[in-house]
Amino acid sequence: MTQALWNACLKQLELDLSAQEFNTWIRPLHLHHSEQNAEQSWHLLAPNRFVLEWVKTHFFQRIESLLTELNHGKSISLALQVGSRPQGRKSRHKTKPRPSSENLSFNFDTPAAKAKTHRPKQRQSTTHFTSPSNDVCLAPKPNRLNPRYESPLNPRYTFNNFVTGQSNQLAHAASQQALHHGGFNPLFLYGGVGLGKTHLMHAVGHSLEQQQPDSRIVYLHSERFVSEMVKALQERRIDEFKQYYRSVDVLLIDDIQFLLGKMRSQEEFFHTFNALMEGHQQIIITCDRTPGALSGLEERLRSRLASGLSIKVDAPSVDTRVDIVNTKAEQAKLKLTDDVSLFVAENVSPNVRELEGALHRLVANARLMNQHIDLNFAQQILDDFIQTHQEKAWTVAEIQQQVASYFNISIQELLSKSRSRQIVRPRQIALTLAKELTQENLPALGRAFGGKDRSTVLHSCRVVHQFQNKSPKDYQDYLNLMENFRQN
Amino acid sequence: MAFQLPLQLRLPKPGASFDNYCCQNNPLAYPLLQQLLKAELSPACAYLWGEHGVGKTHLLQAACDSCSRMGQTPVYLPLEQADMLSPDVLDELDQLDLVCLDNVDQVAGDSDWEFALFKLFNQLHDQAVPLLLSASKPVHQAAWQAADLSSRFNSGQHLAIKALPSEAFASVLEKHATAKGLQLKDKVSQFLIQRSQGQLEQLLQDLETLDYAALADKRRLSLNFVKKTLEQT
Repeated sequence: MTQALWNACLKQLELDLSAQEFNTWIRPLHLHHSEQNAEQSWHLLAPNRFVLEWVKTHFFQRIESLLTELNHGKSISLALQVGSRPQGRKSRHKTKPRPSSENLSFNFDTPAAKAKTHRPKQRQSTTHFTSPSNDVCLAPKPNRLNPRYESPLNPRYTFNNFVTGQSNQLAHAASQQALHHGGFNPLFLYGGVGLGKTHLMHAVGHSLEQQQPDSRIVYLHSERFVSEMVKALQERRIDEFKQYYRSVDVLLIDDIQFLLGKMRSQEEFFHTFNALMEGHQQIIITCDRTPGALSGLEERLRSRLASGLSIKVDAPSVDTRVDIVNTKAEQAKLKLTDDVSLFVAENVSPNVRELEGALHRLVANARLMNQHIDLNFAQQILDDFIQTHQEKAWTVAEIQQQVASYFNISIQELLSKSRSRQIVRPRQIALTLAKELTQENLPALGRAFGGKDRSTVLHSCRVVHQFQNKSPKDYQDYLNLMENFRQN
Repeated sequence: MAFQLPLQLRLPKPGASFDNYCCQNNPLAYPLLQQLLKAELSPACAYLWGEHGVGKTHLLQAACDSCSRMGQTPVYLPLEQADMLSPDVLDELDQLDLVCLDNVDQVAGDSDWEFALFKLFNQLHDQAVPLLLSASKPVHQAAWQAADLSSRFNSGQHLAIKALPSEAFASVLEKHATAKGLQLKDKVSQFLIQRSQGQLEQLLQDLETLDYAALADKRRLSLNFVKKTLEQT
């Protein structure tokens, strides 16, 4: 009945509102009705606070009166709140279910409780997320932690389908070592975007899950760690949050660079890190740069991160890329001819994620058009993609922005006259990258960097290339940035 | 002269759906989006790009319509209006069944939006929730700062959406007019198509104006009436 009422309401609103308003603000809403002790309650659920506020201001009265009208004039008292459907959608990943977590508890002290903390890779079906600051409807708070403190392991990322080559064999070996007691801890994998760091991390997670089905393996992106911590603070559940992370067996944190500049999160992560290290639990971290290059990260945390084994994952060679393309094609039950594999490997980005993206495009187009994939077809389908890769030209402003972001300083600082080493090094690197990646002449570059003269630009370039012998850490920063620009 | 408001008398305006999408020039769009909606793509992400007015918005809204018809909950966000929105609008969207972000390249270069998109992409990917994006350019030509983000956008399906040939305008116009209960004489159709100067959006907007005016004035759509009405707009 609720659904029929809501559908009728939607039909009317679709007529009244513009298509854009309807699709943006009304479609994501969901009407929920419950009846307890003859008392009826109606909740209109919005996916987040922003949508809630917008709907409250612009559409709420209209919806309430429409629902009353459609309910044969019987008044409906509607409460607007942030939440998801009670029969929430489930993750569509085809994974084997983990043990049930319907009774998810956060008392970690007992082995029984420990066993219960496994969660399936499916969304909790009964949890409504409500914000305590929600002033529209004070729904009871769930008596447990937000179940999305972690992300599911991706079933496609296993050691079996990881293609090794010179660029990644060390990282691969160290990741396999992490499966055994006495492996390197923490294992810090770093390198450019889309080179397989996340794949290795998931592969370790899967293998450990098979070896020790009772162990608690938690994988998540560092930005999720930050946002869940903020939420836990807002909802006064920070102790549960702390306890949760400090009691896992294996912690896999992706893209740690997103902790830069977030001091409160770093503090929390530092303590979590220490607790896990003291308990000899395995930690694997990925990052786009070395621990030492994480400016904006507290020194003590940087040094902890560097205390285990740090391994760089490089961009794969063409040969490895051909192997990757063929492996991914086999997974898609496809046999590519040698010329097609080579064409994709040579012309698409060295970034494995994009290589895979190009292959997805080929496969989908071939199936939709019912065509065989030959070289002509591949060239035709990937034409735009390859052209766009070749056409990418960096501007000085983009280079300044990325360098400032890498060193966690502002553009103003980068372009200032400051002689502080923390500013001078990034500025020299930015000038060198701008000279090497753009067509701008020396005077124009000098002007773009706050009125420097051409000799300053040339001096910067010389200094940066001398880093190779004199300051390897600074030279590594330059190489990391150059690699990021070339891959993008 | 003020119009008499005829809202309650009008037939329901036909929202964007796959039924009223003219797939000429873009035969892959419909099957691709069907695969996306049926969770047959991995990663569940499609990026449609093309010039303004080629029908990307229609496809995104049609996908929302299709998702709703399956009893699921979609959301459509026009990011060309990012100034009026906040990156917070992307929070928790992984609870839904489909997320459509129109003109996503409008926020390229804005670090707050890029970070929110990165977060959203990861959440949707973790939950295998389909993400449908539209932009005016291929990923690498937009001014994305975060390589992590552009590389993720490039990991899914890409499709260049091409403009509808003007020969197809007549059938689109007829489809939309019929859905509104309007009958257009050939000379009226020809006039409207000529006036649209190859812009489908303009053609459909004129039809909407005429539908409204015809009901308000209780007139049939004669060529004179059409010309007079559109002159006033």
